[in-house]
Amino acid sequence: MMSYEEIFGYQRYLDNLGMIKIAFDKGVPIHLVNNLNLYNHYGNYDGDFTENFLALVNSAFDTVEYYDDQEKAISYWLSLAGCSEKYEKHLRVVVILDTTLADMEAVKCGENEMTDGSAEIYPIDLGVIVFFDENYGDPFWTEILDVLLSHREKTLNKQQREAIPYEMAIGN
Amino acid sequence: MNFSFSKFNDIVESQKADIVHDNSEIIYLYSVMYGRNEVDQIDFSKFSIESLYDARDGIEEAITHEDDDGYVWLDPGHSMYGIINLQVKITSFVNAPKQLVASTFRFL
Repeated sequence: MMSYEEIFGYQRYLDNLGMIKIAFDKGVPIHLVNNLNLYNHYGNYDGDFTENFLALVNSAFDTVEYYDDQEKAISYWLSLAGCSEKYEKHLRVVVILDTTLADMEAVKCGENEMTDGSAEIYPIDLGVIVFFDENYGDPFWTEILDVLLSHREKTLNKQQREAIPYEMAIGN
Repeated sequence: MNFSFSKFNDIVESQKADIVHDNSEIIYLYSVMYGRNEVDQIDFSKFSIESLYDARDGIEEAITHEDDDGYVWLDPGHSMYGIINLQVKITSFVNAPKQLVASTFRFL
């Protein structure tokens, strides 16, 4: 016999573990990332999903900024992405600047069955913004991280393929 | 030379091994989960993301029934029950020597 709270905690633990596993598989040096918590300081299993996501993207990409209550800054980034009409009071924005994400397309992803939360990714000049409504709870960050890291992997592979003829030309 | 497909089929059928379900990755995940391991204590090459999703879905599948007070009962045949039961037994075994039994003698 165990409480339903414990069951929920186990699921949260595995959600966080899954997100770190995605990062591990895509080559992020997870053992060098600080602030990854699989359970919180009270001994419960629910490590902070959003904090872990931010720690991982910080390690994988050049510049990451998180805006949780600065209305002006949030409006600025939305207008830069050309989606000012999406502004809501409880919107939170993660700005990720990295050349490997430069040509990404807008996508809605990260629907979380447990919280009803989800997120949208919009491209900006040198990266992307990820925004979500805090009122609906955490989006499923694992899927969002997978989308971002897969795009990064694709761009790096493309750059590597294009670099070969150049090196051959130098060699000649 | 004649080749008999029916004879070939009979031999293959008689010698094939049963399908073996390898649950080792899921069991590793349950033991890591119940042991509250930190990131640096976990070997991420020991499981796949598919196993992790299976383990996560398996948690709800393990529940046989629940009561109105928010408590649930697990299927004793489920691998998660096995891991939790084993860990509880190991913990009680490790703690056993610390449980001093009151002596009936005054000098002990």
